[in-house]
Amino acid sequence: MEVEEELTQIEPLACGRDAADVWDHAVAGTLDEHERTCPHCRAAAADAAGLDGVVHRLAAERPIPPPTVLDAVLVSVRDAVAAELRPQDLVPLDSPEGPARLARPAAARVLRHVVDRMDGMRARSCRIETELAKSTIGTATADGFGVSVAITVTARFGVDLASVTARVRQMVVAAGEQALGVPVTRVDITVEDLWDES
Amino acid sequence: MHAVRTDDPPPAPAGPEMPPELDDTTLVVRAREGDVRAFSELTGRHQDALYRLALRLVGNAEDAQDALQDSLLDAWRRLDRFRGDAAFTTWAYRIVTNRCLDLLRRRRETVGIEAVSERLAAPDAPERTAEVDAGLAALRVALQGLPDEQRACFVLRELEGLGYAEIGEITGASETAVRGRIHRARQTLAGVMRSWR
Amino acid sequence: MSERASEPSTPSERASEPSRPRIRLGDAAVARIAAAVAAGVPGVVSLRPDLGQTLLGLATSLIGDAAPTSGATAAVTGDHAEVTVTVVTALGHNARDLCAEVQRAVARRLEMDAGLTATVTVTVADVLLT
Repeated sequence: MEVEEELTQIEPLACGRDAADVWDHAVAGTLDEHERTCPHCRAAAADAAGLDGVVHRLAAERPIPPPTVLDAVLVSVRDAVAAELRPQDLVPLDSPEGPARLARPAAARVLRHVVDRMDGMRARSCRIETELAKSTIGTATADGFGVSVAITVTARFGVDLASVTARVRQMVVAAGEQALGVPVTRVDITVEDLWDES
Repeated sequence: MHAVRTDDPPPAPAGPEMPPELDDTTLVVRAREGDVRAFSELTGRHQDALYRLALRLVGNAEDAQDALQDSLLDAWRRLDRFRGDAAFTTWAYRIVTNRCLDLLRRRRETVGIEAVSERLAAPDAPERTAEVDAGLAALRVALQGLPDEQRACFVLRELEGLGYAEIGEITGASETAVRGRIHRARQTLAGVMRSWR
Repeated sequence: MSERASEPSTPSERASEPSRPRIRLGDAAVARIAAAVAAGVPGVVSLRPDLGQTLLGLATSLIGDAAPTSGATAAVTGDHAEVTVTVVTALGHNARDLCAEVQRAVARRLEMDAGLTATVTVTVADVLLT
């Protein structure tokens, strides 16, 4: 039945007019001379008007879901994220006391937060790759783990992109050192889009 | 060992965790990289519209809530397959619509479509008299009596206000087919309203 | 939980091994101790079920506090324990330093309580922004 429906065109009214057009005109209040006088068109327009009013009342209803639905979704999502933590999702940290690592999404969250706090810039993608690096603890320098960071951002129209991105780069390096405990060897920033403060 | 505080950045309003300038695309990218809070913000923004759609497609709150929950979980799992060029809302609408159509198909297979539509079409069906707005009640019943694909197109156009192109993307049908389905739905519903008037 | 007291029974044994611990601990006991110690380290907001436990289907919901006992795993062989701990911290703490502190605290406790030398692997699963 559905297949046959696809193939059938909308039948024209007896007067030759496209029924869907007449309908749309009736609802929009743009009936032309013919449509206002022809009995076939008038019948179609009356149908349209009769339905339109009650459709508007139905459309005006704004049912909302109970908060339990979204709560349940987020519980499942958080469980899934934790359960699916794979080895490549971990950033190694240089602890002198044994193996230590940080979940990559958590590290990305911290660095995005740093970007977000800049006036006029917001982070999108934040990719963190582990690299071997020299790290300094006290006066000793040792080979250890560092990260290179690639961020895409959106920025507000009119900000001085060069200076803001330079500042963001500094903040990301500082956050890597202070919040994460890992040296940031490189920060690539791509401005993907701009937004208007309206 | 003492806790080391991060430096405060230059004076910028230390706003809420989710600054308002985060558009849907930004939230999608973040969510795709494992940021659950971004996903929470994204779904929080759109859950009302998605629920409304589900409710009007399946006709009752319980099924609509199940459909919404399953759809949102589905969206999370399929985020990496979402191409950034389409709007997130269109993509999410498609997930919800497909899930609801599946539900309706399964329901039909167990209940039997003729029994349902006969009951709904009866002029003195109980649904008619329960509501203060009797016309609205009649429309609601008639809507549930439409063939699934017609109902989907009609709801997306007349109740959600979407354009033919977007409806085509959501339902996987051509714009011509969408237009045809909406017209046939209107005819049927107008007939019901006519006999009710 | 296999926990049994093993006391030197004769005075000569007691005399010859003054530093020998009086308790032998099984895997679950060590895990509980590690989790409790880790939970007490400043900067540890909460623990999360370890990935290994999750795979065994022992994961619980992560909203709210995970019970400390589910935040660590341990495997004891002889005098050595392999311990893993998964923690959540918040902004304002250095993740690497926190790991080191947890490792030191857990290793110290297991050494004192059970004479175990422990290799402690710490995973920071999340950093809360508030």
